[in-house]
Amino acid sequence: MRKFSFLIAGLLLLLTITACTSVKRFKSVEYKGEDNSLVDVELFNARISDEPVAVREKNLWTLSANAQTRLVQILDERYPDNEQFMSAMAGSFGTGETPSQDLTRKDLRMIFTISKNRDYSLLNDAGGRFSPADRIEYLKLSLIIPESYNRRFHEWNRYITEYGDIDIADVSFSRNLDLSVDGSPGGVDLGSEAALARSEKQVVSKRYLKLNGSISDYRVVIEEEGTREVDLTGNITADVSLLFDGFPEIVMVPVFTTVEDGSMELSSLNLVDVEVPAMSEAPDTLYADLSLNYIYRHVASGWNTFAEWDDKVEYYQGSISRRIPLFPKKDYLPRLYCIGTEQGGKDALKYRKTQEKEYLLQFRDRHDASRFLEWLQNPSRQQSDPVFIGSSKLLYKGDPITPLEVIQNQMKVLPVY
Amino acid sequence: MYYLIVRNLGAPRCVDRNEEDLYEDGMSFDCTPHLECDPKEFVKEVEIICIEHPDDPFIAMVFRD
Repeated sequence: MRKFSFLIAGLLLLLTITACTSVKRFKSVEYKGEDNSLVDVELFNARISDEPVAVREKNLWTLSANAQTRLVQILDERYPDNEQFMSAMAGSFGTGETPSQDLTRKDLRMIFTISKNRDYSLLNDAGGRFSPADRIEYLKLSLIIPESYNRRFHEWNRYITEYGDIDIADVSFSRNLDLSVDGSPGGVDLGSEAALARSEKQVVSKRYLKLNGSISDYRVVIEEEGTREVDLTGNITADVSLLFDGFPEIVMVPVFTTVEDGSMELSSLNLVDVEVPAMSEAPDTLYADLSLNYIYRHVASGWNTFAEWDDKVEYYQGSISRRIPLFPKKDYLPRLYCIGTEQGGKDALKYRKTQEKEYLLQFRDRHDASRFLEWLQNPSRQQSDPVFIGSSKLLYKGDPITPLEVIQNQMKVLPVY
Repeated sequence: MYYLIVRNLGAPRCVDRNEEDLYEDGMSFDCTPHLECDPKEFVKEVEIICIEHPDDPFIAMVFRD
């Protein structure tokens, strides 16, 4: 009888040991249905980076070392006079042609905040759906932009979660975030007297997160699945590139040289092709449709331990959809500047190349526009003569303009859009 | 005088003008000029091609003075 009792005790002990192990996912599991109130998502921040400036001034310092040496030799031969040599070294040069610029690509950083509904008042309520051990096990986040905006997602740049970040430069990705763990998380030592010891040594590559993402023209999809003890609550940062359809514009790039008396002289005005977003109207805010589908792992009992093997798990699925503001007008409009007045509506200077080739005198940045206005207003100019640049004229309200009229009309630098 | 007006980012611009109403769907124009125009009366809407973007048609409006 005594031997039989020992046998039963031994069997029970073995059962307990095999039951209490870290390789178990849960004690029991049940799918409980749909509940859309357990998780919430917000676009916490969406920010567009500045437009990339593709045009760089060419001067001695932007050349390679070999080219710098050669240029200095040439300038030394050409300008024996020290002052002329120094002036030539400090100047800008190039072919006179400025490469075209594309203002239709925008890099967008989006920060999504995923939060759980933490209702501690329901902690011990049998019908409650919250415990401190609950976690979001899976989520699928979609962001859709309306086709009418004439813009589309182009590529991923970077993807950051609470558990790590990934550099991506493609239209889709699939990654695991791993961590090697070497230890004995389920180690059980029954002491030397029992003469039975079990150590559950694990050398595992513990996977924190499975990530998937894809981009199509009008939709970004992010999919995350957390493995054991990994809660997907937190921030997700996604950097993507957006492309607008293009509309042609021409901007002016003035090239100035410094003359002997120290004043600036306009040596040329280059016309450069640029592409700006093509949208007939410019709405105050561009919106997108955000939706989240999730699987919520509710621990009905067993949440008083950190280990998950003793959890009685109840799964819920849910979804949320809402229209969110993606970015305001000031973020997507191209930053081009003109010179004009705002009295009684905006009137800006134009550049007449030929009778049928009149262009808005617009510049790629405020600095170029300011320097051009300063040159126009220079008191040393003939104040009553129309302004000519080569054989081209400057026009205001359809008529040639003089430097005096520029001053009298109190012209200033204005944003085009 | 007839004027061909294209609207982008909320800003209208006159890209062509003619004494006759020659404007029809599918015609190609340089869309970069900002010509001096005096549009008063709306005539019609046409779908034009900007020569810089031959694959994307744009909606333009024809006005007369």
